[in-house]
Amino acid sequence: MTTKNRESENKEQENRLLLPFFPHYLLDEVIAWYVMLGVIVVLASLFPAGLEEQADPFQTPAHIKPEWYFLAVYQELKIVPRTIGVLTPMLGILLLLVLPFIDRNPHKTWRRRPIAVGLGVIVLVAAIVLTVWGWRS
Amino acid sequence: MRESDPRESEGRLPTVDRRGFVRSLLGFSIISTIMGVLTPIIGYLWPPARSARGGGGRVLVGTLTDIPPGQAEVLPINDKPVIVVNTQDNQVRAFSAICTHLGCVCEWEDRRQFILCPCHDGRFNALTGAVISGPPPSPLPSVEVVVEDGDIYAGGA
Amino acid sequence: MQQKDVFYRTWPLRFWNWLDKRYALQEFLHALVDVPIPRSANTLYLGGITLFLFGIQAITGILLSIYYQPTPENAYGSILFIMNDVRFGWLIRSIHAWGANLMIIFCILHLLRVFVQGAYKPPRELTWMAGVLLLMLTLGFGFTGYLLPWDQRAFWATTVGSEIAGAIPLVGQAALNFLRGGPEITALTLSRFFGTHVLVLPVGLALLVAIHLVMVHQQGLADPTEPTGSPDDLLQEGAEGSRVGGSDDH
Ligand code: HEM
Ligand code: FES
Repeated sequence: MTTKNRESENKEQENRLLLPFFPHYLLDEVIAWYVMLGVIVVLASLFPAGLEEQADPFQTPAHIKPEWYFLAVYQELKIVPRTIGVLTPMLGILLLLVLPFIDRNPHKTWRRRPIAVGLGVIVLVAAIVLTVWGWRS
Repeated sequence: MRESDPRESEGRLPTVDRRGFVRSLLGFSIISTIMGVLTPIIGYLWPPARSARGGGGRVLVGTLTDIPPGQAEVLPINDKPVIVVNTQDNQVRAFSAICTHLGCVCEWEDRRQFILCPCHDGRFNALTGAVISGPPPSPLPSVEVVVEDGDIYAGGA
Repeated sequence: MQQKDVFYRTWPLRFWNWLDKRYALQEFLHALVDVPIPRSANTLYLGGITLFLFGIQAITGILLSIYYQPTPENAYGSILFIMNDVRFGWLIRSIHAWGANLMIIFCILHLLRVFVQGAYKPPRELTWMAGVLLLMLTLGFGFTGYLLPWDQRAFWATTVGSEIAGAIPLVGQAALNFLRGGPEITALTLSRFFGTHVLVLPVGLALLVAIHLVMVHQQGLADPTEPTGSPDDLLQEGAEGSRVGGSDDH
């Protein structure tokens, strides 16, 4: 009897802790996808993709800029020497790749990870500033 | 749950409960989403009308010096081969160069001054496009052609 | 109960049962889908949306490749043709362009969520590393795809962008040549960018996404609440978050 009671108690605890992937989580996910589909069709209809003049290898147009996601690197390259300019992003990617092995802090909430979160915020702000700067320059 | 309409239990009304209603709505929205996705895809895959592009306007094919009297040239006009002929008495004509027999592209027979299909020796009159001899069942369709200041334009209305 | 019976008599269900008897599909699906999610987990659906956008890109990209012609003479014209003459061509191309940008945005947001929640910590190091590579591949899609319309912006942005590779010490010139298929941007550049964009990257990304998701599946989602992460907790969490621990009742 007692074992049975404990068993059901454990089960209850587990139920409180865990949510089934299917259908609970998946339903929310599908709703998110559906919204995304609507958003993307509306955006594509209101702001269709553009096309400039055909490429002419003998005539450079006035303002060439990369896509927005490369603007930060583009701007960073303008303000530091070339070699440092390419090595910094490569080093950054490498650090990002091995982040789980560098960051040995066992805590998960951001409140108890001041260094990691602090550095993360600095990198993020720098990237945003460089992007906006590159865009407006 | 709503109170059921007494007519339902009497069998005078079909029963539709809330669950069935919602289920139908869901079914309809799934079907309309699928149709909304499939319609553009099928429309996209359907071959577009090439003639929509420029609609086959007239094209400058060259000057009278490019095609002197007694000569002809096969040129792509609106993506189709067209033979432009300048006859020995200075008459400029243009015909579709696609043989009416089995669709080979015709060429100019310089020595004997007619349009020749190399596949089965079909021969066409250079002035009218009419069949002289061979298997082609009908004349070559003519193509509009004008000469302005020595420039030859072909195609178009 | 009665409704259920009706449902089970419909032919799709009967076909399903027929298949299930032969291939034990039910079991397979259960193994796939019975992943308990910690209540405290909050993914904001960002990874899933990234995946969905990848699906959109795959479909619209395949459609575009049906009319696109990857040569300097024809590329621009074929894009014009898609935009002006093909039914819904403008829509398909615009969705592909927006999908590219949104996929990068959502990939970055997903990374930020994983970072902020500390979900990259042991035992999920490899999931994170696969993720970083996924982001690189996604950016690679953007870089190679940008050249394909062969308009002024495409040509010159690629000129400047690939020039950057030349600044890498020692191997710079080699890297540049490799990227462009020669010292200049030519037909060779266009066809290698095209091949990379429509074959190499999609296959690579699909495989890596599969690996990424299998790893997520095997470990379950991270529980972002404290306390956890110490060696003891690692074991405990591994058991608790995993399918093995959660599936006693199945
Ligand atoms: C093509 C790009 C990517 C796709 C399609 C993708 C997909 C997913 C999906 C569907 C999940 C399940 C949880 C969720 O939805 O958040 C997930 C989890 C995860 N992803 Fe990604 N991801 C991508 C890129 C990345 C990147 C760039 C990173 C980080 C560098 C990353 C790191 C992780 C980690 C660590 C988890 C486990 C999170 C947890 O257990 O809470 N992924 N990914
Ligand atoms: S195809 Fe021209 S004669 Fe047969």
